Amino acid sequence: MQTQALIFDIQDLSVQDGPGIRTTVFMKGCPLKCRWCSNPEGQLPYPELMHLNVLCNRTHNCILACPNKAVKSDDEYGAPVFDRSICRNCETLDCIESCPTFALKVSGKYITLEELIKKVKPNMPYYKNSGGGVTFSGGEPFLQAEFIRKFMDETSRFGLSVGVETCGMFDMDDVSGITEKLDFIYFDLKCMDDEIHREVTGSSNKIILSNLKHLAEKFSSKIIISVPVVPGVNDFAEQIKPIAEYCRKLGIYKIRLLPYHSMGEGKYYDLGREYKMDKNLSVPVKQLAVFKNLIESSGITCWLE
Amino acid sequence: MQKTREIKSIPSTDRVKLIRDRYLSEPLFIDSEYIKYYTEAHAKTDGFNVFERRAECHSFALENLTPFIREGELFAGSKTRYVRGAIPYCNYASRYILREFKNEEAEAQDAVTDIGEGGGIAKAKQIAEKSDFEFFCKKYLISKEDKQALKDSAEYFLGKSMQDVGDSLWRNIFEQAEYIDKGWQAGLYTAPHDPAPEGRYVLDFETALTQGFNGIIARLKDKIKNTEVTDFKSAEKIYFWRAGIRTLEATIKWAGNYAAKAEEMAKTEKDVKRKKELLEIAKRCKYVPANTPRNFRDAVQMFWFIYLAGHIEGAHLGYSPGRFDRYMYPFFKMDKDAGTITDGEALELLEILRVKMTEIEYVASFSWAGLGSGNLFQNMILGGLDEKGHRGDNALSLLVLQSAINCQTTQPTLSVWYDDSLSEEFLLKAIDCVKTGCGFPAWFNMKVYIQHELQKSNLPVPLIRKYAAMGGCTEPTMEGMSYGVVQAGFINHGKIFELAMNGGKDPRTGIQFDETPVPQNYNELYEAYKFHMRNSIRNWQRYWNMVMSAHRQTCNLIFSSVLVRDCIERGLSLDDGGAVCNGTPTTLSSGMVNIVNSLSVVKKLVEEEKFISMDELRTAMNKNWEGYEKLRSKAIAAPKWGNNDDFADSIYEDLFDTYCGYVSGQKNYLGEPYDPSMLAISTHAPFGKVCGATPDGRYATETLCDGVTSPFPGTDTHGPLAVLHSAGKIDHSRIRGGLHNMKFHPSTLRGIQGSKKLLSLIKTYFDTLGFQIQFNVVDSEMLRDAQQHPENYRDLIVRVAGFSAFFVELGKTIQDEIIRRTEHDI
Repeated sequence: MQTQALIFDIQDLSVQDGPGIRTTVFMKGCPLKCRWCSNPEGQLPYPELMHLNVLCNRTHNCILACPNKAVKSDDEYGAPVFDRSICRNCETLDCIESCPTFALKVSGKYITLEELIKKVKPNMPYYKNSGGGVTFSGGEPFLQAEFIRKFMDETSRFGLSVGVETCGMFDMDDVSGITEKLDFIYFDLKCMDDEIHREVTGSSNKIILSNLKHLAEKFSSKIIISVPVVPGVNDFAEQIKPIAEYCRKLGIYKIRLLPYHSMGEGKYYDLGREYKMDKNLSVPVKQLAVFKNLIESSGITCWLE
Repeated sequence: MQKTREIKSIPSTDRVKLIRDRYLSEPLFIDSEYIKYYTEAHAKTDGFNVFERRAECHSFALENLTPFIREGELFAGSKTRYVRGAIPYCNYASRYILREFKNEEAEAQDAVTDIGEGGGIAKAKQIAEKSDFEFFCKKYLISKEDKQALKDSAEYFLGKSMQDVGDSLWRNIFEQAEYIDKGWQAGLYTAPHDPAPEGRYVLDFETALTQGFNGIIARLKDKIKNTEVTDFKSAEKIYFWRAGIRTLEATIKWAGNYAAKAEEMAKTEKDVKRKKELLEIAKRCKYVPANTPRNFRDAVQMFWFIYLAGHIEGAHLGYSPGRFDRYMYPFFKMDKDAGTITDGEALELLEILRVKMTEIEYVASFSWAGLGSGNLFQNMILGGLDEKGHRGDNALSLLVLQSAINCQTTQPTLSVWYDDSLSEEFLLKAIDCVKTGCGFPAWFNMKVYIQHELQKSNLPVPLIRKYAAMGGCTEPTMEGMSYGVVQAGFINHGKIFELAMNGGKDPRTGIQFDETPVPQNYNELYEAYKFHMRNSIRNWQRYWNMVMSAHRQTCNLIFSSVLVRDCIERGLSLDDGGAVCNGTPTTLSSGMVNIVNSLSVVKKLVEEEKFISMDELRTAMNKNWEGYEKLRSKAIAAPKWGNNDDFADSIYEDLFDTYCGYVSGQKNYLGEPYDPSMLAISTHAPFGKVCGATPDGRYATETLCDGVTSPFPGTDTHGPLAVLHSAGKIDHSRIRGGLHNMKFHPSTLRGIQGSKKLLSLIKTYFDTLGFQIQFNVVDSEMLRDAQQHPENYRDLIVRVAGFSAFFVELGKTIQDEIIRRTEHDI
């Protein structure tokens, strides 16, 4: 069988996904369902139809085009409404082709190993000159660990640097042989309190913490902890401090803070979902500076993104 | 309103702020003073030798210009009596001015050219309503007195202007004269370029600054003394040298007028400090340009006099200061070593210089004013190499960049000659300048230009390294040793394509050009395209050569000739081939990317998939895709230039080669092959407006592609690196010029990491022998435009802390949020 991955985007020139000029491959599917997630199209492990409301001209071509009659008109605004229980996400693409303003797209497509290599290999001069490479992000990239393993086997011949951004929720057995060869691992740590973690992500953090511990035993120097600072979840010292202490215990000395923002909100509606966060919340810059100092007082390098 | 960005732009002193704000609050004026005196002298010099007549007219006018020194200025010299004034050069073309008097539409294309309505233009309208000035030529104010003088001059030059003399030649002897007229009507060509044809070269500032005008005059006198007249050719040389002396002496006198003016102003000046400054200006204007500068301040004054006098002599576009940081550096270093100038003082001068260069305005036919966006394309290029091949950046280069960061004016455009050996400090400072969002510096690959110039002129490599400069927006030239009069104008690839599709008939106007078979398949279409491309290029070049033949007898540049090597040594003016390089004139076109994409669609849907026939496709184009939405979706999905996909890229490569071959197949008016070049300036919008739908998915009247190698907005679906791979496929050393735009949201370039990534990107693109790249770091204004016109910004990615999205796909409220954040530095 052909090795392929389900991705929802590939981006060149990412600044926040590791050193140098990087191509970030966004893998689709994630075991966590964080409320604040700003890339909700990365959560479900199958292609999904997105209706980009801002580009929609209300032509209703999609209503006529849909073979399953999954699209209806919202009487109040005339916007098409997609019944996700009927929509097949979509095998025929009829609605997408019918839209003159490109307001419909499928997020998520399968890409073969060969296709991805063909895409990134010509970029080698750019990676080489800048110390960059490829970063697998998501979603949770380790859900498709086999693909990453094979990708690294193929690309090590031309010296491609590969890094990963993970939510930490994966099976350690799946990643053996991969982690050794990665140049860096961005590892998310939301909070140490398991109860809160369950509530806001839908899962316990036990496996995450255990995975981090195992990885840190061998590769602590190439791990960078990402902490999304989310109002009402972990935006207080009592939550941040234990993270810093735990990292220091594991010999991890790099933490980056990602302050919550509500810019992902629109994508929830585009996907026909509900946004459960209060979009008016934000973390004051002063507060972030306090957390930064707090973390650095544990002897850890910390920066904001 | 000051936007908060990562790199802030604030004038370094209150003086600069005053001068800049004065510029920003001024409307545009037409000043007839120069042309009035010029006309007066012209009437008196009938029967003179052409060089002496031209020199006399210019010199007489220059000597009589009213000197203006404005509050705060530290060096003197103003092109007109107004802060923002333009000289109407009736000697080049006067019919368009008279047409304005009759309130006629200036050119057939004017109906489709938008000119800016904001800022100074809006203010000019207001002022005209309640003062003695009148609103003229759709964007200028003119006094009643000047208006009469302008009318007199314009009428005087009927039948005598370069345009009239040239037109009477080609309209009578050129068998393709009708083709040119049709081309203008159909929008195949830009409007006649006669009103402002000069430019695209750089004077030999280095020689002038090291010999002084007195030194050059002595050389000229020496030449006259040592030349025995034996035939008309040697006599012509004497005339030329004498004419040269006349212009140099007039320039010294003109500087002297400024000295007198400064002294007069000093007498009544109450402020002690300003009085001292005025007296210093007076002293300096008496000393330079006759003598060589004693210090950096002298050198700046002298540079400005030379630059401005050249600018006044001809109707220029793309006339540029060249490698300013190289030839000015010795004076700066001398002062720095002696401790007589601080970086801050030098910076202030450089910031003022920016405003002074922006103050120069031009007037041309309405169409061209819209096309050039009022931009004079003065290009100052920094960095590069010295003659030994070592890095050319220095402490002055850094200050020039800083001056552009501090004092954001549209002119001069900055560029960087890139080489790996340039210092990191210089490169990072240049990136800082990019990050201000001003759009420059543009980046040029030294290596590729050396290859081009070697193929073209076979000059010694050390010479190319040292004098490679930029003449105009993106066209390299050899500083102080070449002449590159602006070419006839642009050729519209979109229109050529329509002719090819429709048997040589323009669907918009119904005008029939050379008839070709209506194509029924890809090959026939491609052949027809090549036929019409070749025809339109060849006719355009031949037409322009005939116009330029009139240039010698009407507008031959004398002052500029004696300041370009080797005119003096050879005793030949620029028009007679006196310059070292005569191969710089280019033939320009824009919109090729749309054609490549259209051909790719035809190849895919007609040839390969047989999804549609050529006839059906033609119908779809004529109906502007109406009823063919599904076809349009398929067309949009077909391979496009800019995705590192050989299917489309190979079409570009082939078309590019063909184009270059056709262009250089014709000799220019200086006797050497024309040089191919591709730019867009603002032609892509008016050219798009006259074109119907094209198979690439473009609707009728939509703008064409804005660059040479940049993809059409929305068609690059494989990311910026794929775009660069495509752009790197063509042999950039074949053309003089090139343009590659990239748009970034500031979030992508944040911090020193972002700067270094951008530098790596430039370096690697140039490693693959790309020639030019420039960056738009979008600001909130552009994002608002993106809200209105999402189709032009489909590829714009916003990345914020883990979040990733295409800007145009975000909801309105989130777009607004991002605009807010962009204003406050994400």
